Amino acid sequence: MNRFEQLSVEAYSSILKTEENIAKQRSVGLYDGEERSPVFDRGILYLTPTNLIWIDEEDESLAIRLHLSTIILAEDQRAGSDQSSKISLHLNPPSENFSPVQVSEANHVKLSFREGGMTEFFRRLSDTLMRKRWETVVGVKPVGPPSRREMRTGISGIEKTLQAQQATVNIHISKAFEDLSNLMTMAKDTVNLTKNLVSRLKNKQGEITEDETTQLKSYLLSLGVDDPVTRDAYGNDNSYYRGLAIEVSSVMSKPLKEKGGLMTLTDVYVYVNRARGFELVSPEDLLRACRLMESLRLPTKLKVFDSGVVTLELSDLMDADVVKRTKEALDKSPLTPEMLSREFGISVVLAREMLLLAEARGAACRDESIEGLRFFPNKFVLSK
Amino acid sequence: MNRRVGIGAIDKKKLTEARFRDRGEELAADQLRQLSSQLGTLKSKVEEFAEKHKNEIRKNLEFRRQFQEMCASIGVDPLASSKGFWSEMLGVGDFYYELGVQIVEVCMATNHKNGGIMPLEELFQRVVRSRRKTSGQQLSTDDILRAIDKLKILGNGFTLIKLDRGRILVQSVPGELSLDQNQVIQVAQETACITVLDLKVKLKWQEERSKKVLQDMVSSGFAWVDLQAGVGNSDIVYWFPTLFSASFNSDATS
Amino acid sequence: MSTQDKFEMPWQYSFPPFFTLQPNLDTRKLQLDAWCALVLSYFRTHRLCVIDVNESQSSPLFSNTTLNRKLSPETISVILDELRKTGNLEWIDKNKRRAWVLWKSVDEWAKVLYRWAVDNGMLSTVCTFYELIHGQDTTEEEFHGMDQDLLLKALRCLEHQKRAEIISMDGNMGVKFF
Repeated sequence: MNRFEQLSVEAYSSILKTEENIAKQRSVGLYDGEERSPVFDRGILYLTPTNLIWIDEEDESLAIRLHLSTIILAEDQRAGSDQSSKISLHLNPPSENFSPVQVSEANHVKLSFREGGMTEFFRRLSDTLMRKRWETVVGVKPVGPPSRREMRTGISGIEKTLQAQQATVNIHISKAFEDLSNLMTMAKDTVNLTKNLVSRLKNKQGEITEDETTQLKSYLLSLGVDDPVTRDAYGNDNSYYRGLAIEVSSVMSKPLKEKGGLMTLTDVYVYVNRARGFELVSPEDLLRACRLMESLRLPTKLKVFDSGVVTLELSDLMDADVVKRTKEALDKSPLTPEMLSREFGISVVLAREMLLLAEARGAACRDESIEGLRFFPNKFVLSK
Repeated sequence: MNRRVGIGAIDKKKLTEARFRDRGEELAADQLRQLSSQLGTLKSKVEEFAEKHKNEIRKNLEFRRQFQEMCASIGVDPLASSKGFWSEMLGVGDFYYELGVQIVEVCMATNHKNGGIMPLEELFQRVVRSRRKTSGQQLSTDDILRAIDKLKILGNGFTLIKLDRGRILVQSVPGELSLDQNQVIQVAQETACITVLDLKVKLKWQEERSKKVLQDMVSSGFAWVDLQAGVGNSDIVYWFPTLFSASFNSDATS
Repeated sequence: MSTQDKFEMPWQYSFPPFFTLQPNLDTRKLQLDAWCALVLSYFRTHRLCVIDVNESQSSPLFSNTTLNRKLSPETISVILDELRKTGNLEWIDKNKRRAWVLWKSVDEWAKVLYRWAVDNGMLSTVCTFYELIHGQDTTEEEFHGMDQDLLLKALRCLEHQKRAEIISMDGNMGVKFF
C-alpha cells in the first residue's frame, strides 16, 4: 500500500474529466499484501489510461491513486463460495520522492470485488497495461497534498446581499438576538434529550447496542456536547477522523522531513490550517485524528514526550536519531534550548524536548545557573 | 453497516425490550430515533439562522460573545469539532480556529524575547495588527481567550496567569510557573520589579528561598537583573519585561 | 548636536536592566542585539560615524539620566566588540579608543559616493574632500559631515575598482571620479 498516493477531490475530478474512464466498479476493497485494509474497505474503483483511482463510497474526499506504471503484473483470482473475486497487482518499488499514503512492507496489493465485476475489470486493465497507454497520454498529473478550497458560492452570495442592507443594521441586530434566543431554547431541549441518553449509556450497558452507541456519539459530536464517557472513545469507527488522519499525515510528511522529523502539535495545527484556508480543523479534531495515525500505519504519528509536550513525528523516526542529531550539535558547542532552536530552525519548545531527551538517554548533561539552562555533551559517560 | 448479531445478543435484547415495554418506559432505541429527528429539526433551524445572521457572528463581537455564552449555558461547545454543525453552518469554527492560528504565530514570533509570557493586552494588539491586512472584523479579548481555551488542547502550553484588576498574562509555552514564581509575579505586578527584601517583607520568605526563586527566574529568562538601583549597588533589582508597560507600545518589529 | 528630538528611543531604553550586562546568556543575546541595533540606528540618524569610547560613556545614548542608569565601560566594550564581529565597527587606533561605526559598510559608502558623482555630472572633474564633506552641494547627502579618514577609505575602495583617483594638491586632498 505504499505505492498509493492520496488525491484531492479536485485532482481526481480533473483526471476523471480529462481522461477516458475505461472501467468503473463499486464496492471494491483493498488488501495490503494479504491483509485486508480497514481504511480502504469500500470504494469505487476507476481505471483510466494512467491510473487506478479508488474513492471511498461514504466519504468522497478520501481518495487514493496508483499510477499504472507501478504495476509489474496483474493476476486474477476467481472467487470461492465465501470469498469475493480479486485482482492481485505486483508492484514496482516506490520512487525516491514518493509520499505514500501508508507505510507497508508488502510488494503487492489486491483489489477485492465485493459486488462482482472482476472479470470485466480485469480484462480492461490487462488491455491497458499491455498497451502501456499511460505513455501516450498527455494528462494533468496531480501533485502534492490535497487542498480543500471549495467555494461556498451560496454563502458569499448571501453575504453580498447582507452587505447591501447596511441601512437596516440596527433592526437586523436586535432581530438577530431574538432569533438567537429562540434557537438556543430549542437547542436546549435537544441537549437535554442527548444528556438523558448519555446517562442511560453510562448506567445500563446492555440496554443500548453498539451501533446505537456509535450513532449517539456522532450526534454528540455534531451537537457539540462534551461528555467524558464519549470524549476519547471515537477511535476507528469514525470515517471523518480516519480521513482527517490520512490528510494530515499526507500534508505533514514533507515538512516533517525538512524539519528533522519532529514538530509540536501546535505547529502542525498552524500548518494544516494554513494549508486548508477554509473549513479549518479544530484542535480537538486534530488531536483525535493524530491519535489514530499509528493504528492506521500512516507515515506520521503522535509522540508525547515525558514532559507532556505533544508532537507529530515521522513514523520511522527513532529516539536514537533525535539524540544523535542533538549530540552532534552539542559537540560543536554547549547550547541552551534557544540556541539549538536557532541552529535547527525549530521551535524553542521542541529544542528543549530534544535536549531533555538527549539528557535522559545519557548523551547530554545540563548546567543550570543564572546564565541559563545549558546542555553539554555528556563527557562523564565517555570517560568510563 | 452490517449488523452481525449473535444468537445470545438477540435474546438479551428482546428480553430487555420486553421488560421496558412492561414498565411503559421508552426504549433507548426510540429515544434515539426521537433525538435523531429533533437534531434534524434543529439543524434546519440553525441553517435558517445562518442564512440570516451568519455575517453577524463574524462582524459583531457582542453577538459572538452572546452566542458563546448561550451555548455554554445550555451545555454546548460550538468549537469542539469542526464537524459540529454550529461550526459548519455558522462558520464559528473557522473564525476561532483561524484566530488560534494567528495567536500561535504571534507567540512564536515573540517567545524568544519574553520567555513565552505576554500580557493579554499585548497579545490582543499584535493579533489585531496582524489581521488588519485580511479583514476589518471586530475582535475582542473575549475572542482571544476562547481561542486560547481551544489551543490548550494541543498540549503545548497556553495557560493564563491572573493579576489584579482583570489583567491577564498569557503563557504560551508549556511548563507552568511554580507557585513561588507565581507569587513573585503577583507581588511585582505594579512596578514590574522586585528585590529579595521585598519578598522577605511582603511574603515573609527566608533569604535563601527568595534568592533562589529570583535567580531561577533569571535563569529561565523571565527576569532581567539591574545592578544600578540600590545605593552602592547593594540591592539587586529583578525586572520582568512582561509586566513592564512600555513594552506594550513597542512597534511590531521590536 | 542634539537631534535627539527626532530620534525615538526603543522601549528597552526605558527599561532599567537594559543598562546592566545580563548574566543569562539567552537574555544577553537579546540585549546585545538590541544595543547594536540602537547604536547603528542612532548613528545613522545623527549622521555620525566615529565613536570615542570615553566620551560615549556620558552621551545620552549610553546614559539615561531620567532613569539614572548608564552602561559601564566594560559593557560598552562588549557591545562594540559585537558590532565589530558583525562588520559594523572598525577600530581606528591600536588602543581601541576610537572607532568607525559602519552603519554603512566601506563598500556601500564607495557605491554611494560614486552614485553621487554620476548623478551630479562629476565624472572627470576633481572634487576636494572639503567640498564633498562640507560643500553646499552635498548637504542632503548621507556622507555630508563624514569623517575625512573614513571618506579616504571609501575612496581608496573606488580607486581599487579603477573608478576614481585620489589626488593631493598643495596639502589638500581631492578625488577624480571616472
